[in-house]
Amino acid sequence: MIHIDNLNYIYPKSGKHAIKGIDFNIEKGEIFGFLGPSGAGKTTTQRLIIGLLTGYDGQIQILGKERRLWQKDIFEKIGVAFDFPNLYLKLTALENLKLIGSYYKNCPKDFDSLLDMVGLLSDKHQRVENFSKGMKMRLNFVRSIMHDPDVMFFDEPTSGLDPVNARIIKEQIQYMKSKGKTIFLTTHNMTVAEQLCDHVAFINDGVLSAIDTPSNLMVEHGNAYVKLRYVHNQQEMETAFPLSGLGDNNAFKEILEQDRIITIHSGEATLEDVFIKFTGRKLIG
Amino acid sequence: MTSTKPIISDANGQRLLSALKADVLFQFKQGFYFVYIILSLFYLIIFHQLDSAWLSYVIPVVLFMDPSVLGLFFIGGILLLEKEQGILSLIYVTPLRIWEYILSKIISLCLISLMVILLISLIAYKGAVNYIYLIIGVILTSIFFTLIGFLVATSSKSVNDFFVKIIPWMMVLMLPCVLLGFYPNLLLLGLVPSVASLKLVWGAYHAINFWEFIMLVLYMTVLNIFLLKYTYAVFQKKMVLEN
Repeated sequence: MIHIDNLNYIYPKSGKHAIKGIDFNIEKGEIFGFLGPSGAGKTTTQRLIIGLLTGYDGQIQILGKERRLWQKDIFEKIGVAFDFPNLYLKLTALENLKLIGSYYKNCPKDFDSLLDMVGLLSDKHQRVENFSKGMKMRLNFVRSIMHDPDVMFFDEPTSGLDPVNARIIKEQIQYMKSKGKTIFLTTHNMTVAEQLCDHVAFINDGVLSAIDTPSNLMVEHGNAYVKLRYVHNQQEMETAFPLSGLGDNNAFKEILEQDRIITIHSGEATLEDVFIKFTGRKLIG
Repeated sequence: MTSTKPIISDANGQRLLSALKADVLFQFKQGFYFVYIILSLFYLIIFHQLDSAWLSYVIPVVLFMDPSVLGLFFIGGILLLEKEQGILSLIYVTPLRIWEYILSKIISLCLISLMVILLISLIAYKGAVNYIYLIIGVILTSIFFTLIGFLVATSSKSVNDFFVKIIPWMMVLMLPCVLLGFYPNLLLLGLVPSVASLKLVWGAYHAINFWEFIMLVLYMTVLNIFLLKYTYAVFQKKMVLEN
């Protein structure tokens, strides 16, 4: 669906080399997550694929054609939701969908079902200016997918949302995947990436350092461990041991046999740990 | 071999119509039409106090000022309010073309100006009016001033910034119109687009010479086409790519 080859981008004004020769493929029907801290290049990459930024080097193949050869018709086939709502504030939820929907050849017919999908049916006659941020983001989500596009782009889809609203959006993204849609999302939220993405790519300073499934990355590059809290010589101690080869670990066995154990916890590497290992940077902060 | 290709296909025509509908609804809900109604009532009350000799001078001037000044200010308000609400980014990720976006703004403001002006003229003016000249004059005036407002709004960061920038433009465009009152025969003044517009609207009430009318219409049409193309290029570059 999307094939990126040796993509380079330099911002014309600042001269910043924001994307430095990245390559990746996104297959039909998968959720692909771009993971990185602010300023790493994830939104720039997304904007290049969408076409908001032009003048790139390398290849961006989307829906079988180079991006620079697409005209505005591409927006009949792709849906885009930014990390802020793009809605007419003085119009109601229904008026927004009807007006924006009328720009598409595949104008939706059943607006009530769309609004119901994100729990906004009972608010359809309310002006958007009276909506909470979560409600606006949910409406914005529906706005971006109402013309039934094949490829969907979400920029930080759950950013700034409370857990209930974030869950609704995540469920809808999974529902879109179940309908065979291809989804490209950017996030700096590792939980979102772990829960939703079939593949994730780590981007930092315009360079891709890893692409794989979240579980592979965590298994291959993360270290699972067991943490013991125990009393040794009347002193409380804490030690972590790698999970692999634990049965043959003499130090671990010694503690179990000789000391008084207070707690035993197992832990596994998070995507964030793996990200830090690859890039030396934290995702947030 | 020649091929015929419609300039506006069915889908494009539908999109332009949808954009126009969105603009009218947006302007209505933002209270622009309310301002227009109040202003029109104010004009009608003033005109009611004047005798017909005065009216033949005052009405053309006021009806020229209406599409020009309001076009100038309204388009700035509309564009910057839309920018604040993220509508410009939204437009970019829909199939709506930038041409359609700009045209629907121009048409929506032109239509409301035409309606108000025709209504005021029909109610308040009892003398002879060439309504075909008036309609053509108002359309060309409205397009010109809306495009100037569009250009200034494109380089403005906020509504306040727009107002600061538009005042000098208004002065530059309106001052030659005042000069026309003192030097009505100075041909050079007619090259100033605002003066050409005023002459067109004025001419509808004061039996302008046919050939002068044609010249002015051609001049304003050519000017508007160039201005439209320039506005498109500037808007495409600044508003869309930099956002």
